Order: sequence, then structure tokens, then C-alpha cells
Amino acid sequence: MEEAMSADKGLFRRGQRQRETFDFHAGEVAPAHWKSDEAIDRYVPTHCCYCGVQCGMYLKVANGKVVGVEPREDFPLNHGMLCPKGATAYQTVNHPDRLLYPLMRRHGKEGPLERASWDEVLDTIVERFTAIQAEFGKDAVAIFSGSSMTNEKCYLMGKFARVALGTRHTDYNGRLCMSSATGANERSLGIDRAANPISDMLHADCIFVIGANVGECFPIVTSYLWQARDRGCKLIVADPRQTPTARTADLFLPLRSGTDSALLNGMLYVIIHEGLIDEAFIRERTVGWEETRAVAEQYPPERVARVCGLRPEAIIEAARLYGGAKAALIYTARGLEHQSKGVDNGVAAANLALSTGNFGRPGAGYGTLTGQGNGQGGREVGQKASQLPGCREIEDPEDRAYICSVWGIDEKDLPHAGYPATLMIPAMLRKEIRACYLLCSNPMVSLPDQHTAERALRGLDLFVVTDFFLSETAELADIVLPGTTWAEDEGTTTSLEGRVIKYNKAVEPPGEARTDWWIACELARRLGKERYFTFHSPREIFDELRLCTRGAKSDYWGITYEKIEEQNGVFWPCPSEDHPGTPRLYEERFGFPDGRARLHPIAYIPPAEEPDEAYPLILTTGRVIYHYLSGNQTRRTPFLKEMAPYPWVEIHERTANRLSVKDGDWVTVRTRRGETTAPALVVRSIRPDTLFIPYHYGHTQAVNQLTNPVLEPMLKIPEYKVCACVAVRAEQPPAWARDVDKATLEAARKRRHELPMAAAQPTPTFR
Amino acid sequence: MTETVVVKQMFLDPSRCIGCRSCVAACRECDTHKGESMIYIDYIDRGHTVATSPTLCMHCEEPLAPCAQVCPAQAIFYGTYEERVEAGLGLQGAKPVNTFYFGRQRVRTRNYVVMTEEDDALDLMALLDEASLGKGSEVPQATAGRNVEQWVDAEAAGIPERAAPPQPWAPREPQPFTVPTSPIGSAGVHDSRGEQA
Repeated sequence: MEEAMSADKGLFRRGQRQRETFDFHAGEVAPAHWKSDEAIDRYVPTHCCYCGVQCGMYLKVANGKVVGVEPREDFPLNHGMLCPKGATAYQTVNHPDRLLYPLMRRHGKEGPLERASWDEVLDTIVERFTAIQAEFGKDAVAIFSGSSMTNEKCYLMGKFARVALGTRHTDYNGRLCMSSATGANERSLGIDRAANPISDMLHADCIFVIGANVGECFPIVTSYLWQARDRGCKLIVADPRQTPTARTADLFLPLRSGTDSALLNGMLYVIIHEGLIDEAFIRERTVGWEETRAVAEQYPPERVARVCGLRPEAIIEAARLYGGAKAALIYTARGLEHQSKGVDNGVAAANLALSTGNFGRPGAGYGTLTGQGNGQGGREVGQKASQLPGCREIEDPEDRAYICSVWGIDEKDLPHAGYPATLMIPAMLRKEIRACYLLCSNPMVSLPDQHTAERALRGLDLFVVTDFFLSETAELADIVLPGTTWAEDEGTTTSLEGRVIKYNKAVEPPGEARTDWWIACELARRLGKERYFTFHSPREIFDELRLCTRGAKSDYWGITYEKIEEQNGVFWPCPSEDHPGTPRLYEERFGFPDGRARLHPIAYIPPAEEPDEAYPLILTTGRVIYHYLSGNQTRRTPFLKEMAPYPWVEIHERTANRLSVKDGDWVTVRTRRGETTAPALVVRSIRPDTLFIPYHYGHTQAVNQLTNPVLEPMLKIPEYKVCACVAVRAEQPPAWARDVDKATLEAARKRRHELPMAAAQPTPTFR
Repeated sequence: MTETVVVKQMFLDPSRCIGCRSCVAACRECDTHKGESMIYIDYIDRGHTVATSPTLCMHCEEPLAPCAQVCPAQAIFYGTYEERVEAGLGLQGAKPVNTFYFGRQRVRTRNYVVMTEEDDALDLMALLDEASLGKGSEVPQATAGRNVEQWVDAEAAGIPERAAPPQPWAPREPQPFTVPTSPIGSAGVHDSRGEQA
């Protein structure tokens, strides 16, 4: 093309040296149609709506529409970097799939979703909720909330459940995400937050990443990891797959899924026996060392290695690298937390950090990489089943009294702890919960054992879903309310560092879409609880939230919208307005009354389901860089959809040979709960005993049809990361493959240069 | 007369690339060619490694190439050589992770760490044994798949475990666990069973 030749030939103009241009066509001025057609009215500073890193970005607004994105160089975490999700996040705002008006099934569950007015749906919801609560008790209605929305909304949903509906049952999708890290933080350290800001990585001599695919799930954090390594920091990665981060690690421990606590105990054994523990730190700042040591003594690396499926030398070397470092960091994520012993795993990681004195200094600490955009804030502002705002305990009399005084309600009207999200499903099946208001969540992709979850949700008397796209879950709803994207409202979120930052409003919501807080206030008004919900803006909600958290563990009292803007985010706890915030925790004391951390002895618990003759392989699930959580947004973004349009089964060459599966063949993976069929990606970058399937897809593509719904005893997180499975070559493609356009799949494969492997077959085999 | 020359260049370091395609997504957002990317990210050999490598158009200059701006791994760097060194990146990766010797040739790589089966392993350590280590050079790290072993259950391996039967859609009840008095679990005698797992 002629125009293509007139691209800026800056390559030939080195600085100011050469004035001449080698452009043969248009000279300095690029042809007009190469520019975007609209003049940009405003650059709205905000943050990415996706993962917990919360990169700073500007939204470009033209004619009242979001038309593009520009990274923010001034935000101290991403410094202008953005991942592909961030660079395309703005495309969800004007998406043609947006829900623009409320939908309702007027003719029962089998009827279609029809357009309705806000008054009609809100009145119906209130009428039905009231009737159900009158007949079956207040607790027959549940709130299933989420963490990918602002603190203001999360806070308001907790208050809405307890004050407007008066139900015990309110919980959120963070239960499925990092709740076991919460448990580990609370048991070991006393404060539920990562101990260090991400920039501490640059001060570390050793970083131990266990169960976190940093390169794909937190791409921007990779920058800090790589910079740390440029400074000589050693990297240890434990993961059953070779992830982009593991690829270059100084030490890669491809452990068997579900054996993290054994590995961590084995490392502690070596650290004890090689004298790498920090005795002074243990003596002065911890309790419980003797018991912990006694248990760790029973995990010599030679034996642990056999359970983890590793070479013992590798465990010893990892322990030496970690224990010998002057300052070392441990980062964990879903790999370690999505297990029926997730809390134990986190505690075992904290034990390792505590026994080597790695806390309270630059580059020393332990933290979870929180996955959801507001995963940190969502788990502390009181939408959890057992929690009041500010990480207050719902069963603690003082906390109850304080919150009731802020809310202006009688203490006996404040419900007690309810079911966590994962236990709501069996409660729905038992008809204990008969109606549910769900927002900011897509359990029909994200819950384990999808068939059971679907039965539960379909069996509800009334199921209301708020979303801005018709998600897999919204498809089951009786009433669907059109929500807003992050660009259409303002509010704060708390990033994975514990930094409170603020989204700014860029545009007005399209059509009849409304913000979640407006919907909650409107429902409350119709429920006759208007006086508790007199909010007209997110700022008013935030001010009440600040008051609620005053003096609590996660103290937002000193944080204001102005201060967030001024400081580019404020780390909680921030107890007063002149307090700058607390980037690094535990410098002086831990979060327990005596200021000491707790070491807990952790015995290894095997995965709930280990391979046997019928199900000889291990299935693990995870994420890919192109999709965020259930993919409800990212699967609608053309670029991201094209990169990873369908799930695949990552399988080791040796296993594939045994099953006579070639790269690109359709493989059916089956567990005791269900089966799914997807093309095989035959690689050597995974353990031969393990299969991997990404989880972002719905309906028959959902790997969560297969996963094990066994729950962690303390925090009820399901065991997504390990279950027993069997794989066979499928004779024919699955139904979903017949529905999709074959040409699209082929084009996608060519673009991605991967799916399936280029060497073997050109396309997923349709035969 | 002397003239100060500021030479800004594109630096590519595939060994840092994590294959995230941030550059591809950012390139598409450029106003001059919106919707079309001038960059490719290729898996080098997906069957063996997740290593990837970017191929750039090399056309952008001021203010900043979007690909270089967004790259979270600094695999694409745009600036002067001095800026690059200052950023700690150096030329071809200042501190390569794996340095090994093939005969007398010193090979530095972060990219081609290949996970292989044992029988046809790219055995970096074996190469090392035969190579002459340069004075003061670092001993390379053993990485990747050579740490994989077959596994056995905890009983066979002889480490204590807590039994916890699975109960679908119900939490595992926490069970009391007491520390056995003997420092070595009695289960150690089952060791021989492990080979068949």
C-alpha cells in the first residue's frame, strides 16, 4: 500500500543530526486518515479495571465516549507499562454487547428475558424478596457479591445485606480467589495484607515465587522481578508447569500439584539443619517455634522430594538460596491457595519467612499476589460472611457495637455470620436459600463442579444478577440489571500492595445502565430502609466507610480522595489525615496484641483426590494472560479473544504418546464430576503426570465442570488446583467446536503462533 | 566543529520476553495504524519451552515507541545505550542467568532453558564438566525439568500426613493432629513401595 510507505521514517533520522528525510511520499505530515478520526477531548486519569496490580492509565474521551487508552507514566507502580488486557480494557466500555436496559423473565423460568423498566424490576425484586423473607425467614435471601468493583460498592453490599435485607448470608467471589491467603495472614501475621510494596522486590537478594504465574497473571510485576534479577537477585519458582517466569528462574521446582506444604516444610528442615534460621528474630518476635520445629524435623528433603516429585538436591538448593539471602521475599498466589489446605500452605510459607527473620525490612517479607482488581479492598470492607468493615469480626461484641453505632441500628438487628459463597450452593440445594442477588461475579464459570452449581442457581425462586454483559450466570437469572463499567463511576480500590487508589469517572453510563450503589440505594428505599442509604455519590459512601474502619485493622480513616490523588495512592493502615500511610508492614510489630507473629506447625495433607487406576492423571487449572477471571469481559474483547479463543489441554509429550494423542488432537478429559473436550497442546513444559486447562471459559468449555468442590476447613476455598482425571483421545470434535467459525480458529492459531503447536498440524483436528 | 549526537535505538532482549503480547496490543492502539499491529511475538519452540521472541517494525521514535513503553519485561527498550546500561539492562542482558561453556565457547542464555526428558536432556552440567571454566566465571544454575521426579504418596515417602477424606460441597473438618514423639515417622518402612507409583 502506498500509504504504508509513508510511515514515519524516524529510524533514519538519528536525533537532530540529519535534517533530511528519506520519506518518498508525504514528507513530515502523515496522511490524515492514519490518525484516529476523533479529536480527544479529555484524558481521564484512572486505573486499569482488571487485575490487582491496578496499573495507572488515562482513558481517552472523545464526544462523550471512551475511545482509547494511554498509560500513565506518573503512577509509581507501572511507570507507563501496560499488559494486553490493560491496553484493551477500554474496549468494553462501548461494547455492542453492553446491557442497556433491565431484563426480566415474565413467564417463569422457561420464558425469555424481556425488556422491562427499572420501576418494574425493582418493585418485583422488592416484592418477591419481601414475600420470600416473610415466609421462610430473613436468611432465605442471599447476596453473592464480588471484588472487581470499588470499595464503596463492596462496602455498600455488605451494609445492604445486613441492614436493608437483614440476612446473614452475604459473601463474595474472593472466597474462590485468595481467601485462604487471608486465613494464613490472619493466623500467622495478624494483618490481612501483603507485607511489602512491590518495589521492595528491588531490595531482595532472593525471591521465592510459589504457585504464582507472575508473567501471565501479574505481567507488570514481572518488571520488578526482572529488575531485581538485574541487580543479582536469585529467583526460585515452584510450579508444575514451566511458566514464562519459571523459564529463566535460577532454580525451578516443578512440584506436583498439591504438595506445597510438604515442600515448604522440607525447605524449613534444611534451613534448620544448616543453621540458616534467625534465632534472635524467632526469640524476640515470634511464638510457637518449638512446635513448628518439631514438625518440620519430620520432613527431611529426601522424603519430601519423593512426595513432591522433585529431586532432593533441588529442595536443598532452594532452601540454601532462600535461607542464605540477606533479604528474601516469598510471593504466593492461587496455585498454593486454591487447595483444600490453602491456609496451611500459606502458613507454611509464612513460617519459612518468619524462621529466617525475613520481615519488616526492605526486600524481606511474604505476601500474596491478589488476583482481582479490588481483591484486597473487597476482602476488608465488610461484604464477607463473617466480617464487618475494616476487617472487623462480626462476632466480636466491640466491633458489632461500633459498626451499629455508625450505621445507627440496634445491635440485635445486626445479623451474625452467614454462609461463605461456596456453602451457599448446598444451602440453595437444601432450599435454605431461596433467592439470591448476585453482582460482579460469574459463578457459572468460576465455581467448581459446575453441574451442581447450575442446579443450585436454577432452583432459586428468584435469581437477580447485575452485570454489564450477559454473563453465563446472568443467562440463568430471572431478572438481569444493567450495571456499569469502571469508567462510568468513581470510587476507590485497594491494589495487591494495599495501596488505596481511585478510579475516576470518564463517561456517563450508556442507555439505562445504573451503578451498583444506585441500585442498592434504590432497592433499600423500596424496602423501607431509606434512612440508612441516603447516599448521592461514592464520596459519601467512602466517608462512611472511613468512619467504619476507624481504629480497625485496615484503617482507612486518614485516606481521602484528595490525598489519594496527591500521593498517587495511600497504603493502609492510615489512622489520621496527616499520616502518610504504611507501605511496609511489621517493621516494629506484628498484628497481634502482643506484637509477635505466630508460627504454626503444619503437617502435610495430601490432595483430597489423588490419582488412581481409574483416574491416573492430575488435573490443574489456571489462567492465561489474555483473560481476566471468568472471561466475561476479556472474551468479548476482539484482540484478547483472538489470542485465546478456546481452552486447550496442555499435556506432556510422553503422556500424549501413551494416549496416542498428537498435537492438535481433540482430547476428552474426565473426572468424577464431569468432562470437557479441547484440543491438545503437546509440550515438554509441564510435568508428565499433570494436565493443565485454562479456566476462563463457560458452558461446555468450562474446566470447572471437572474440578473438585472439596473445601478448605477454615475459609471454604475449593480445591481448583488439583484433582484426579483421565484423558482420552476424542473421536470427534465437541459441540462447541462445531458452533465456532473454523476460519476464525485458524486465523487465531496463525496469529498466535502456538495453538496448537505449529510443527504438527495446521489446525485443531476436525475429523 | 563538534556536534553532540544522541543516538536512540531499539534494544531487543528475547531472553527477557515473557510472551505477554503487551507490545502487540499497544502497537494496535497507535493512532497511526489503529487496529493493526506491526509486531509479532513468536514461540520459539512451543513444544519444548515457553520461550518467545518479539519481532518489531523498528519504525517508532519520539516520543516513545508504545511497544517499548508498555513492555513489562524490558525486553524491548528504546533509548540511548547509556540509558540502557543505566537501567541495568546492559547489552544482551547484563547478568545472564545461565552461562555455560560449549567446548571453549562461552554461551550465555536466559532463553533456551528447555524442559526435557531425562534420557535426552540438554545436560548443561555435563557440558560444564568437560569445559574449561573461565577465571572468575560463575557456575551455572541447574534449572528446568531436570528437577522433575516421579512422586510417591506421603506414607511411602515416610513423612507424616493428616488424613482428610473428601466431602463434596462440604468443608473438610479440621482433625486433631498430634506431633508423633519419634522424630522420624514410623511410616518410613514403606519406602520400597514408591518405585511403582
